[in-house]
Amino acid sequence: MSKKNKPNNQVTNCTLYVEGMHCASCEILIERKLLKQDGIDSVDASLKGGRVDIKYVGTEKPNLEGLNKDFKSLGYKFSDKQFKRDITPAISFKNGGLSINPKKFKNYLRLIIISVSLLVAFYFFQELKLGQYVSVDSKSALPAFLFLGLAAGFSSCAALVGGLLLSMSKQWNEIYIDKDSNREKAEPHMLFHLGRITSFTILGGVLGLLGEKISLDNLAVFATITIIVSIIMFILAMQMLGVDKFQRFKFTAPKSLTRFASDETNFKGRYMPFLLGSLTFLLPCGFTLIAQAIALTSGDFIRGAAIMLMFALGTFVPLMMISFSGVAFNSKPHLTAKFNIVAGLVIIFFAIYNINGQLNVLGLDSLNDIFSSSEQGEVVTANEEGVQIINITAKGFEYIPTSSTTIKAGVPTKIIVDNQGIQGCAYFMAANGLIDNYVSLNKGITEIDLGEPNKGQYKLTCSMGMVKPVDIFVI
Amino acid sequence: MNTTFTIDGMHCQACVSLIRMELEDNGFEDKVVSLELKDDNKGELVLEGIEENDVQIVSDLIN
Repeated sequence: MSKKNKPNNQVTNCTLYVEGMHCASCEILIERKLLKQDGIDSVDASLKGGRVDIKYVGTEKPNLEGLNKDFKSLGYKFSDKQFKRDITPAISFKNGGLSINPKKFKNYLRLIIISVSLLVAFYFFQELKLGQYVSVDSKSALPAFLFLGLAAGFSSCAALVGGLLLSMSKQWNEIYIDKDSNREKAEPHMLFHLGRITSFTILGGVLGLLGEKISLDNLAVFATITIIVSIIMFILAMQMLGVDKFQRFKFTAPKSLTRFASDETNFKGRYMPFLLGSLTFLLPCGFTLIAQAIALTSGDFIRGAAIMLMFALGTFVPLMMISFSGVAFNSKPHLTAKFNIVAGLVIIFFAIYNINGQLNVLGLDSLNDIFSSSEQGEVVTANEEGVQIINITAKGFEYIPTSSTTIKAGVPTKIIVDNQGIQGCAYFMAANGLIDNYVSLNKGITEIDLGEPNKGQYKLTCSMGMVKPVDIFVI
Repeated sequence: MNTTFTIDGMHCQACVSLIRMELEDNGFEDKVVSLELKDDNKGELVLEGIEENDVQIVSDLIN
């Protein structure tokens, strides 16, 4: 933010640190109030960095004492040094007694409870083979994305996009106040949703195209990107749960974009709801992020567009309900808090589940190794043609070895898979280091030639890493 | 006579201060009877002795 009439005097930069900023309103308030001070030419407040970058005219730096006096009633404190963080440990022993830092202790306790709950949930999820019913990837049937959108529309999208819709409703009502019929009054909302569906479809296709360009048909690249997206999901979810340590990470649109979006005068035109709806593609809600990542990994324009279209259609019904009922979670603070905990836990679970799956795909250590470890068996005897054969039965959502999975290195080897009715992503078998990308398992027998494998321990799983891995030992 | 405005989207004291600043900058500081945060992200502004056309000006300032 800067003053409109810039003087020609020399401008000097300085940075001050601010304690007490907690939201975007604080940023704007500090910027506008500082701009009223003599000599200050422009101000850029950053909630993320807890700082303000000031450009001032002349040689006299803004007076800290004066600023602190002016901003004291607003709850802000300025300093030219960074404020110290709370370094008192959660639990410590002082003067022979136990001392607890309640804020930190509560945070750690919450983290422990979350971790244990998630581990238990993961164990049952894996043991009951539920992954086949809920896993959504780029190969899933399109209606799956409709349901994903529906879930988003009733949860994180309701909070994020629903909140935006509500904040704009008042303004739209004023613009359309001269309209008599409900149909005409509904016009801005319909334009908003139309814009949203259109942009999701087109940009979904663009993501697919982008995925094609960066070779996401390579399982290792796909796995790496999925892990990165899942880590972002995990951080967003921890923020929803209010875990302090994660609050420093901010995944926000560029400030110029948020300033543009927050300036309602930019959306006052009759067709501006369409533009605003289109821009919601850029709002990072957890489920949208998942759908966008899947569209990216589809590596195909049409497929990416279809995935995002179905997702947007899924969110349409719940968001329309918000449009016309005027009720969203974030208009009720107590509901927001509860919602954030539930949605945060669900997103964390799926983030961990995704990361774990991709670790399996990459053949790295994963949670599966904690719950089930296998040991080397007898070495498979080569047949008359000198080929080692590993027999696997693929059934339901499981790969069941019917022979030993320990083989000798440098000897021609094949995996014979008997598909007795495999489901979901288990149809695509992968083993990083042994199989290039993945192999589709046709009904009946599929023969996979592994060549002459090198020494190592490999994981045989599905292309999403969700099937419980079978360890293959090459000695 | 007092005029009451209900404001959506007010969630903290920074929002209150921002609105108060806008009102002051536009010459309404003497008219403010109260400006308070209410439940459900709402706020309430009470102004006294404002003209009919001021209602629209204040609405535009807040929006």
